[in-house]
Amino acid sequence: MWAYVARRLLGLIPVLFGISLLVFGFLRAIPGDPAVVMLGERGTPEQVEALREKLGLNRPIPEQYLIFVGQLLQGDLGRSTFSLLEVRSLLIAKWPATFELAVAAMLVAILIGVPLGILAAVRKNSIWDNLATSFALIGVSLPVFWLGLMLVYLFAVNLQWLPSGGRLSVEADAFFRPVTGFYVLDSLLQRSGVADVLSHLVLPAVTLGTIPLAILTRITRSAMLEVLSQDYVRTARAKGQTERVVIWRHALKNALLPVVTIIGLQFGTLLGGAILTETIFSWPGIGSWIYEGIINRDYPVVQGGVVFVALVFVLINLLVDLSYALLDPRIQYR
Amino acid sequence: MRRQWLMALALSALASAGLAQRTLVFGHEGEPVNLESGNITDGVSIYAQRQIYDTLVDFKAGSTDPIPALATSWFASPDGKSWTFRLRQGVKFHDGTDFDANAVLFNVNRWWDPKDASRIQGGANYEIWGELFGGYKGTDGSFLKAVRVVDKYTIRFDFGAPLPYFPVAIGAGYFGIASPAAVKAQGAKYGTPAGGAVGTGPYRFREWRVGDRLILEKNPTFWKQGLPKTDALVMRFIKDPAARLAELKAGSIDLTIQIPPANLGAIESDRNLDPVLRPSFNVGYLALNPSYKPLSDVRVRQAIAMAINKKAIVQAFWGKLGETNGHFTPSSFKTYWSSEVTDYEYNPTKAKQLLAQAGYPNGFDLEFWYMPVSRPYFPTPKEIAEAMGADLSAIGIKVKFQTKDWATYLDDRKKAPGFQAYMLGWTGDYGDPSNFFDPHFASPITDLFDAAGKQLDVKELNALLARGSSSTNQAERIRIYQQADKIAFDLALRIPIVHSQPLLAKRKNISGWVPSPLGSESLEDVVKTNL
Repeated sequence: MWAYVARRLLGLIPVLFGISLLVFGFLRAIPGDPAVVMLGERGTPEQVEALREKLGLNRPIPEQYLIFVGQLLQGDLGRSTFSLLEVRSLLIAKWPATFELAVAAMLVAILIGVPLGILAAVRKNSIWDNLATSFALIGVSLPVFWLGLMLVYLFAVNLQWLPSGGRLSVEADAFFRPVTGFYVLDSLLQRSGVADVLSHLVLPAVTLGTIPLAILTRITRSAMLEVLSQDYVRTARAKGQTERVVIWRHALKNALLPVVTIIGLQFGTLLGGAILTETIFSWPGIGSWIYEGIINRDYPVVQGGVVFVALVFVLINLLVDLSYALLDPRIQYR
Repeated sequence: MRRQWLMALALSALASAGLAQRTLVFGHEGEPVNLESGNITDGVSIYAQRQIYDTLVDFKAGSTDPIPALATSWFASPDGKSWTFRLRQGVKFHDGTDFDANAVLFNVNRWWDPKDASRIQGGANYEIWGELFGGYKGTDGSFLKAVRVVDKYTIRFDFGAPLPYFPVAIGAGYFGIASPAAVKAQGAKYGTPAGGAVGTGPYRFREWRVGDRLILEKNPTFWKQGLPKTDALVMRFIKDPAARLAELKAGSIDLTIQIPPANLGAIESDRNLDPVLRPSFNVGYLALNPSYKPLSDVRVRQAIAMAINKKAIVQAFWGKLGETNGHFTPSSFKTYWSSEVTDYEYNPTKAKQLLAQAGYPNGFDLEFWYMPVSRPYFPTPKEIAEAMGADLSAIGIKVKFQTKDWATYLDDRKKAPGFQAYMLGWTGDYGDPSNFFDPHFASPITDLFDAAGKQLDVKELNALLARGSSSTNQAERIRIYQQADKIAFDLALRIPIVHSQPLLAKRKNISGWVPSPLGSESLEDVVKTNL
């Protein structure tokens, strides 16, 4: 298995090289000059030219790419042309927020979506099945922006049960100090602010988790239905196994492969940031950061951000592939 | 273990109850780019800097009238080419070092001198100095020729020509005076989340959590006795206006800025909220480029000005938050308005007659560019463009709407022959009419072109503006800008559509907030009371 992992990790090199080339090329292909955006309505042509010179945009594009890749190989993602801050330090500051939200959203999706899918499959064509499939349909159809705002107005503005945005209340600043950037972890370690941090996670996690939840419900339902019609399930039932054992031990374990695949893909996508959810809940993640980088033509931010997100996505998928062996002993990696 | 948790919870509750009363939470429209003064022009950064730094000159609350700040008085030399500032004594920076003339010299050199050792290299530009004062040390255009420390609390600026508006320009929020010791100590980190910023202002830097919030605390040695009135100021970065409004309603922020005008009714009807209006200091205009055939005829441009029902458009999109009057400058500059300018009456019939006289009785095709982004002067550019387009079609001008992403929009309008007709605007930096007229009408005009594709040069207006920028006689300056107002109106190269009042909002328990027309104000006077 380790040889397989090593091979997959080596395979990352051409993938990341291709991604670096694509993101670099696309950024240069879209019209709009970073110097013009930075100077805004006021910039004179002379100022634009001087800034282009300073940012190295006057150099030939292949040379700019070589500089970018050279820095990348040394772990240097450059500096944001807007804030002059190191992209690496910005990533380190923003990544924990994205990770925490993605994990919370996936928990919402898995803890509700998978049982709902199982219920729909086991009670096929019943009212439960109809309810679950309708719920899944609504889940994938609801615009995230609308859902997020509705949740804010209901639970934060009207009922005042939950905070409307951010990761921490201003009041919590008095007794809680973020250290690692992973606020849940920090609050648990400091034994303070746990409720405050968790309460800030609820609405964004529900908003972001709705679509994966709906997808998981549907995938779990169809995977379970397929497995439940297999001979070995019929055999298990014929042997007099209880329905609970048939479903949980025989059917679910075999139905999990496609479910885990989808979980991996969805999780990888969420780790790339969630622009809409981050915007509604003022969540300082990397999605809206990269989006702003595109609008501002902040090349180092977009290049560094996209390469990092791609790396995470590939690694998550590698983990998913490895988990197959745990779920199905017939799968072996060589 | 359980007891420890309960204790922690109880302490948290107590601490939070006290803190909530003494901490002002400001819903900011974004995250500052940097807190180094003189190096950043975006409004978000300037608003944050305004809380940390003082400028030499400040402005009376809610107006553009200059008042003493770090400078207690200032005067010009008889020839108007020098300005001397007497500085306030006994002021300390947040790091405990003294404020004096050498500190001002240090800051000015950093902004003005490209070779200054304290400059943060690697991308920083300090472009605002060059833009407002003609260039940098060693360049031909630089207005400033020398800056000298006269004594510990007196500094003198020498210019190549009279610069009557220098005190108000140096009072702009860009030019906060930073602690030389802190800038030297932090180097490239100064102004960043890692390095913070050190000024003499009402609040001092405590922490900047990237993407989340800026935490400032009361400056206990602030030179204004009894201020600021809150112990801490937290600026939360909430980019989406709908999210800001929701947080204000939920009570997790106390005050916020840049709310779309359409929300005025919702704020007025909320029993916990108050709308707050910032005095107008902007202009949203429609530029008509004479490099294109029909628009090169002034009668065609005037016909367009007449065909657009500006009053109805302003009423529809801004309600009571906007005004239209034909003047290019907002009402803060009423003194400089020409009494001969009364806006073109909305009259499609007369507009059609003018078009016919110009040789276009059946109208013509017009490419009409609208901005892809929202600005206080045009919060919903597309819809406003469509309203103008509908008016133009009534006189036979067939409008083809165009837009591009913001970067390209800004760039391409300056490439000859430029856009035919396009929307843009301006928010002023300081309280002088030159700040509105010069960037738009002084030669060469970089985004309007003549028939040959050269940058437009309106000689008469340019000569007038050059005199206005250098005259030290206030009465003469008023006459000059009144003439410029009239000429700009008659030329109809940029038709002023609106001077808008940005909408801000606060919770009812917040008082003492007087917004400045200049776009940012210190929150030192703001009081938060329990309801």
